[in-house]
Amino acid sequence: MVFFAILLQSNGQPAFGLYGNAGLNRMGFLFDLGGQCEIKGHQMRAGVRIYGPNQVFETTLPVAQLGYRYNHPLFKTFNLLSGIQFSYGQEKKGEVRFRFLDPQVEIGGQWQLGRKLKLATVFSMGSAQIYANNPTTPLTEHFYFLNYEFKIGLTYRFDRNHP
Amino acid sequence: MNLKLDLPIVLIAIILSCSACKKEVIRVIPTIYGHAGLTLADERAIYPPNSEASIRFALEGLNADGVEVDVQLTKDSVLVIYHDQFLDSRTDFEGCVNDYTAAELAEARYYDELTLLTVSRVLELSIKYGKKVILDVKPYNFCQEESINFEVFNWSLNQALSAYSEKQKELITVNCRKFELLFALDDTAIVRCFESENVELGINYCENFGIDKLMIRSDIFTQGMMETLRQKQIQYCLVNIKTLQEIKWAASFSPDEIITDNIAATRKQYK
Repeated sequence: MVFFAILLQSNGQPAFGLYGNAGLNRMGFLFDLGGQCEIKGHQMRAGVRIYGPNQVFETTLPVAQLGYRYNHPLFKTFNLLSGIQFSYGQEKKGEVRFRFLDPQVEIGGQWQLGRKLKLATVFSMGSAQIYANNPTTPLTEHFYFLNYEFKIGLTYRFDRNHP
Repeated sequence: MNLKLDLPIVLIAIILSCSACKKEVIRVIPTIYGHAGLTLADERAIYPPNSEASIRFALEGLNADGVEVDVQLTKDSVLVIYHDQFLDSRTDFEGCVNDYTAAELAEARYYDELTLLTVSRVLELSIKYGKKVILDVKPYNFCQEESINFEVFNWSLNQALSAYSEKQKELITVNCRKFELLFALDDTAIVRCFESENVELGINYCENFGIDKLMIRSDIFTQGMMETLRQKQIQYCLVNIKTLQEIKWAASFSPDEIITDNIAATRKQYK
C-alpha cells in the first residue's frame, strides 16, 4: 500500500528488475527467483521461493513470496537495505494438509557491481507459523518457531535509459 | 512364411515375453520414527529434542509414523524423558536423572524454559492417536556407575502402560542395549528391541530369547547383515540417519523401521 502510494505520488519512472537468491534458514536451503519494481529507493518484490526437501517440507516446494525493501544510500556503490518479506506455501503430507507462513524483517547490504547488476547479502528473521490440519486430531494444530536466514543474491535491473 | 508381415508380430512377442520375465521388485516402506521427536541434533532442531513441541510437530505436523524418545528412571521409580548421561548438559540441575525424584526433576529447567516430560505424557501424545513410539531405555546410572534396577523399571513401565489396551501396547517398542532389562519385562504385548553392533548376538537373542527386532546403526550396517536378517526373517530398525546421503544409504538396505533426524526428507525417499 505504502509502495503504491509512493508510486502514484511520484513523478519518477519505476525501474524493473529480476532477482535470484540462495540462502539457508533453520529449515534448510532456499532459492528465490522473482521480479522487482523500484522507485526512489522503495522496492516491491514478488516471486517464488523454492524449498526442500528439508526439515519441514517433503518435496521440492515452490512457495509464494512478497517483499518490500528500502535502500538507504551510504556510499556511491553501497546501500544499506531494510525491509519485510512474507512467504506462504502449502504441502500435503499423507492425510495432513500443511500450511506455512513465514513473515520476516530483513536487513542487509547491497553492492553495485555494474550499471545494471547488484549483489546483496541479507539477514532476516521472524516467527514461522505452521497450521497442520490432521484428520487424526480434532483440531487444526498450530506450530510456530523462530526462523532466521542468511541469503546472498544478484539483482539485474532493466534500465531503459541506458540500453 | 511372409517375413514382412511376421516380423512385427515376432518383435511384439519378444518384448511381451521379456517384460513377463522381469523380476517383481518388492519395495519395503519402513515405519518412520522421528529421533527424539523431530531430531536429536541441536544444529537441526526447530524445537528442543524430547520436548512436547518436538514430538507433536513430528507426529501431527510432519505426519511421522512414530517417535523415538530416551527414557530414564528417577529415584522414586518414575520414567522420564532425557537423553544425556548428566543433567547439566541440557538443564540447570547437576548429576543424573536417577539421583532425583520426579517431583524434584519437575523443577529442572530443560533448555531454559521447558520441563522434562514423563513417559506417560509421551504415550498420551502418541498412542492415543494411533502413532507408534520407541522407548529407548538408558539402563546405566553414570553417577553411581551401576546399572538401574531392571525389576523396578519393569514395575514403572507397567504403571505407565496400565491405561492402555493390549492392542494399543502393540504400538510401543522398548529398546535397550542391555538384554537383561528386556528379559525382565513381563508385559507380552509390547515389542522388545535389542540394540547392538553385534548382529550375531542379536540374531541369537531373537531366535532363542524372544526378542522381536534389532536396532542397528546405519553406518555399520552391511549388505551381508541385510541378507542374513532377511533370510532369518528378523525385523531390523536402522538409526543414526541425518543427511540426505544417509537417508539414501539406509533405504538401500530396505529396513523395516527407520529412526531419522529428518522426517520430511526420509518420507520423500519413499514417495
